[in-house]
Amino acid sequence: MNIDRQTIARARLAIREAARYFLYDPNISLIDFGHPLHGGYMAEDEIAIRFHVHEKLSQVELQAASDAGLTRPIPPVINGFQTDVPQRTYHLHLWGTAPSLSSYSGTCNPLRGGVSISDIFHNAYGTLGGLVTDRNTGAQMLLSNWHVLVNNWTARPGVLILQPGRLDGGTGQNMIASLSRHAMFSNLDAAVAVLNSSRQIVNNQVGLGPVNGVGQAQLDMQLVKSGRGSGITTGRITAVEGIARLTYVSLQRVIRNVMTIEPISPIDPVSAPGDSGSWWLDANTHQAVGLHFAGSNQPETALAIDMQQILNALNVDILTAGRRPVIQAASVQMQLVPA
Amino acid sequence: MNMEDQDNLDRARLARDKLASRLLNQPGIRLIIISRETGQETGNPKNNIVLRVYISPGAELKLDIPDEVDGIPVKVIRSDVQLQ
Repeated sequence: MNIDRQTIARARLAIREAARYFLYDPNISLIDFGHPLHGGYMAEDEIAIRFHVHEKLSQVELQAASDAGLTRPIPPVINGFQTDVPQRTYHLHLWGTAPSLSSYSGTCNPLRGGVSISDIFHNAYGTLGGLVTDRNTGAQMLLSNWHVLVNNWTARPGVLILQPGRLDGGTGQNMIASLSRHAMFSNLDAAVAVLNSSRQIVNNQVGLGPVNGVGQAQLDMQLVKSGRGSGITTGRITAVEGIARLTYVSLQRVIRNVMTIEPISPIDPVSAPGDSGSWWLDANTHQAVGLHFAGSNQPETALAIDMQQILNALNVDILTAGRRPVIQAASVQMQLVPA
Repeated sequence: MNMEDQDNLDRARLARDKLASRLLNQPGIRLIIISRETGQETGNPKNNIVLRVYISPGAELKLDIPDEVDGIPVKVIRSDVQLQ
């Protein structure tokens, strides 16, 4: 059965909707999209949102459990897709571990790329992209989007940055940095904040390891990123040198040097809300090539801005892996030494 | 990148800028970008550079989007692009 990309995109949205209401039901082990079972046989000419349960309940048992607040009935249709309820229990095969949600949404010390941040004023979260250094002063800074760190046309340098972001529970106790400058007037959705002394920051992306400097985006390049919204995802650059026009705080703004990134597998997500600020890395070299800022579900696409353009506009650098800044005690000047 | 690819990319940049100056201020236009597709899709086995125009679902455009600009094919994609 051929399933078009629009249908897959709608199914992905339906799964997210279903997960919001049902994933924490103790009887549900998995929610996915696939062929339903009829009489024990897989109907390969049909598709459904499937709620895998540990135990299928009779109508009487289901009513009793529902009345007791232990579960809720699964609707026959979700967002236009029929539902199916197979009985399946799954067990972990522990051969490796992926970062948990709390790795992204919780308090992180030392700070690293991929974790939740926001400015102090907005009840939101985006992603701390990673560590950069000021080309003039050598000061350590974090790089993310303007709409993550600022999102206010009247904001001034000094706006406080929280980790985790406010929507992840960040408060005034979690201040880590203050806004330094941004590049929106260069048509780049990017900003940097200078760290305070509360926490160190390391050149490390959650689940991916260190970033190895900056690379040049090219068509068909395979990328990977780690972000607050969708964790670790992979994609392929499908278009470059784009000009976007999006709404920023009620104003339409042009963003230049945009690339599109599409999932390598058509059923995988490539990004989600909350990923803004993530760094897209060359999957082979882990050089940073793009700063994530937008995306779409239909079709599943991520938008990022060319990293080299951002670094030049903000006058900052990304360290290569294995090289670390050395702060000389008597001076604010910094020099790089091999690890 | 060989000379022919570089020439095609340069032509695509000019075409992109021409298309952007014409369309980008229209409501509903979200992105104009340079892509590459197979010869089978473009009908031209040699030149597989295309321009993609992303527009909001349901957007009604006052100006028609051309099929090509200076020989570069234009492909329209309906997309719910938003900040993330």
